Amino acid sequence: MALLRDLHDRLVRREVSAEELLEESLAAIRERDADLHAFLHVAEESARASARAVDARLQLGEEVPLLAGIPCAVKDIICTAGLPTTAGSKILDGFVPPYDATVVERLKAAGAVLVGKTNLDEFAMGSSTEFSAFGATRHPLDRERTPGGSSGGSAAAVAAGLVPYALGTDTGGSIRQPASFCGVVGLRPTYGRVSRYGVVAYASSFDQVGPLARTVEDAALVYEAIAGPDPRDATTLQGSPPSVRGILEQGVDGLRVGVPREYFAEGVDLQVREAVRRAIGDLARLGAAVEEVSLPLTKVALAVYLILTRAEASTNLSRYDGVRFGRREPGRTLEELYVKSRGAGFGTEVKRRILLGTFVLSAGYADQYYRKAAAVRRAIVDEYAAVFERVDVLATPAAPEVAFPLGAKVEDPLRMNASDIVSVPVNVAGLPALVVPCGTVEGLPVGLQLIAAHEREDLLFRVGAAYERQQDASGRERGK
Amino acid sequence: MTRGSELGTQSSDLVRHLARLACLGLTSEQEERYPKEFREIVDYVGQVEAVRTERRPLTTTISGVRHVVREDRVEPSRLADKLLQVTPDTRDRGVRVPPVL
Repeated sequence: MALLRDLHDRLVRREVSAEELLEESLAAIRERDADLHAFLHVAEESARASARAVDARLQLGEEVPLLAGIPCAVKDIICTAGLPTTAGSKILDGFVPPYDATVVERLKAAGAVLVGKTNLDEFAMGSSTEFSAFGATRHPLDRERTPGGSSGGSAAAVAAGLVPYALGTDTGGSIRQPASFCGVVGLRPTYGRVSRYGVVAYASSFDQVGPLARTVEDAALVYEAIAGPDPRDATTLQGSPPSVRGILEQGVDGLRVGVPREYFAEGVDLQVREAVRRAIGDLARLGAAVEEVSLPLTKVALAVYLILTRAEASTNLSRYDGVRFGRREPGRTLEELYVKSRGAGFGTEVKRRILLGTFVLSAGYADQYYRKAAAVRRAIVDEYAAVFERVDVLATPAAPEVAFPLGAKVEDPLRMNASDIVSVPVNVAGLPALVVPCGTVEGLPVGLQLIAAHEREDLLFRVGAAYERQQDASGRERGK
Repeated sequence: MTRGSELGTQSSDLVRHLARLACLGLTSEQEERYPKEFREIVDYVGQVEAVRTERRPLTTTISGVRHVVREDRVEPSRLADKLLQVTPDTRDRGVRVPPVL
């Protein structure tokens, strides 16, 4: 499927209809998704109604927004009115939200055609989709491997060409690591840039919604459609985000790129490091001033992340008690109802996180774990702010490895968490980050991660687009 | 700081205690495997203790957005009926649950 701008032009010129684009997407899903399992729910009827509505407007010669009539998918942790929303969990199996998340409302207002809900690790807790209660998604290039997670379904759907873009969420790398594994572009916006209203909460001070798409421009277009303040989410940043489209052509000449040495340490595969260093070399050749920097607290960021997110998760998931919505198991008393509903409804990884979260918040432990971690978080925020006085963006690997085999990490929670070592610091500091594909290792995609200061998505798009252009150019030179 | 290793044999009791606090039913398989995993993770996250930090008031907000208020306006909500539709057990627009005791 063509890129968003091309699709829009073709729709406006009536060379193709929205219904035809939808049929293409549905056909691709029928053909490939039985294997991939990227989708948990395909909303054929409502998608068709949306597509026809856009076609009717186009027929009347009306101007339509850029995303109108174009198919997309939404991670199943985001509420969609009238469509099932499971968060990948048995405890929400059968739950149909009576309202749309703000990001869904915004896409619908732009005329987007929502094709379906994508698979994820349960409650966004995982790095492979293997913790989904409904089975794992497979990597589009290698069925024996994971697409990453937790937004693995969205990443796979885009990489396999089932939809041109999808929404994911990123709490500790859940957009960026699957984008890296699947060879697509993924953006995690600044914390607060995109509304979390209607997004099933995992860790409220870490979660953000963002796009997965095939190009930097496509990601920027989707970001623009969903970003901005929302009175229903009091953590959103005030003021409209600046338009990013004009920035994509600006190039990197004169921009300062920092390379933090701690992101290139042992925990990251050697070949991944090399691929990313080559990409950074390309940025230098394009005119960026590259310098090495140091972020010593990177080493402790994962520990901070584990403590704080589990604490927030234990609180957020206490609402799943079988009383007002979701799965309910019978009980003789109210407490038995809670214990059995939650016992039957939550998977092993989710329970693990609730227990750890309960621990770090409990009397006798809260000071040394939760409060301490919150203080270290502050220090990490400051450390990044200081480095951004010297450089405009940071360039790092997006993941410490390429897509790993199904089953390789599922029994070892700490090893699974380690898949996010280069992603979590970004969430701890609340910063925006963009992942752009930068080559392969033994045929499997590697991602370049660009990190910027608060609200500087413009720099990410600028550098990402420049790198992408250079890649396309050299690809053409090699006669691809 | 309590190290994961110090939890030792207490970790099974601790896991059961935490499960009670969190109203979380565990399978016997989970009861068996969680204590060891717990010790490992608690050990790992313990490294935060060694980091020198300034004494500042605790804040959970890192974006600087605080004290967002809106007008206290009463508006009709049409959601109530829709919400009752997704409730497992209702009677007379109330949610039915087993007795507390």
